[in-house]
Amino acid sequence: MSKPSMSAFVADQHQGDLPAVGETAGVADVNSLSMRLEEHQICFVVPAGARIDAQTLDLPGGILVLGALRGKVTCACGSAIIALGGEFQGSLDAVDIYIEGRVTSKVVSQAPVLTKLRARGVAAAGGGFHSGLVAFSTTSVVQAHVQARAFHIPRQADLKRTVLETLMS
Amino acid sequence: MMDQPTLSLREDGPPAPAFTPVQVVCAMLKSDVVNLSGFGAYEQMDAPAWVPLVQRPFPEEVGAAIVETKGLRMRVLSIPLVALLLCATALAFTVGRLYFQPVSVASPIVWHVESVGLAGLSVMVGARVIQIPVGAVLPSGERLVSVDAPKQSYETPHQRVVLSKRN
Repeated sequence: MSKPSMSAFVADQHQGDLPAVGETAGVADVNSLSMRLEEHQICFVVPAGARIDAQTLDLPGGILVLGALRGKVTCACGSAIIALGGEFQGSLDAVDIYIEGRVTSKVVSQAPVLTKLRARGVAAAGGGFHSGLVAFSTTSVVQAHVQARAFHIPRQADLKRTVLETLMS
Repeated sequence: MMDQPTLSLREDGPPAPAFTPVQVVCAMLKSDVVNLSGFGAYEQMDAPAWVPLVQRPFPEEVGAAIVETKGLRMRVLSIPLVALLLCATALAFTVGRLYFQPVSVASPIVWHVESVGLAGLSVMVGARVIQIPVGAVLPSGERLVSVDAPKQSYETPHQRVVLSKRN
């Protein structure tokens, strides 16, 4: 069995063909991921250095977080990208979620109220779902309750008491 | 790089949006790609697919059903348990009585008088002949009071026995 590269892996996500668990194993030979904003339908950017406290953010497409964003974010389509230097806290719902930066949780009376991330995927024409990926970078620092149909978790990712939940059809 | 968006107005109906939100973002970032790092060197786990990895709270109705089932089971089990206990007690009592009851066993000693001598009796006990003098106790538990050798008779406190020879 051939060892897939990371780019091939992500390309598969876009084609809607998640690799079967246990089918592929190996080490990727690329470390960077180049994502086209058009493909991921990014329609909203939190610029670097900006800090947004939003109650509710309903977006028609995806979101790119370069600064700090707190609130309840729903992306009708597209992906949510939390880039390096970006920080998110609250609730985030998108088709796919890519995390390179930080995801923090609110602490209420010394107990964390976990930020909720949900990569719901897209209903396929023939039934079922495709996409629904949450991909963590080696630089990501995440404390959240993460729901997804597929996970990409490198060993170096800092998932401090993060809860992972696989969504079923 | 992306094409520069152009502004166009239509004469009929509301004007179509000149730029899509994605185009705005691309213009703002001056790029149509975003590069992320640290997504390499992954290993895929051999975990079963579609299994929730989060521990859900135990359903209350299931807990209530379990408690109810436990109570029912206790009731169902308690009746045979009490009956079994009573049976065991009765059995133990019976066995105890049988075990400690005094048993009267008939004497296995078989004996008879062989002859009457001057000083006592010759008695055959099993395969052995023993001499019992006057005043001693016979195998039957009686005391030998007196003997009369010529008449081949002897006396105990309760009876007088005369031996007669069979032809």
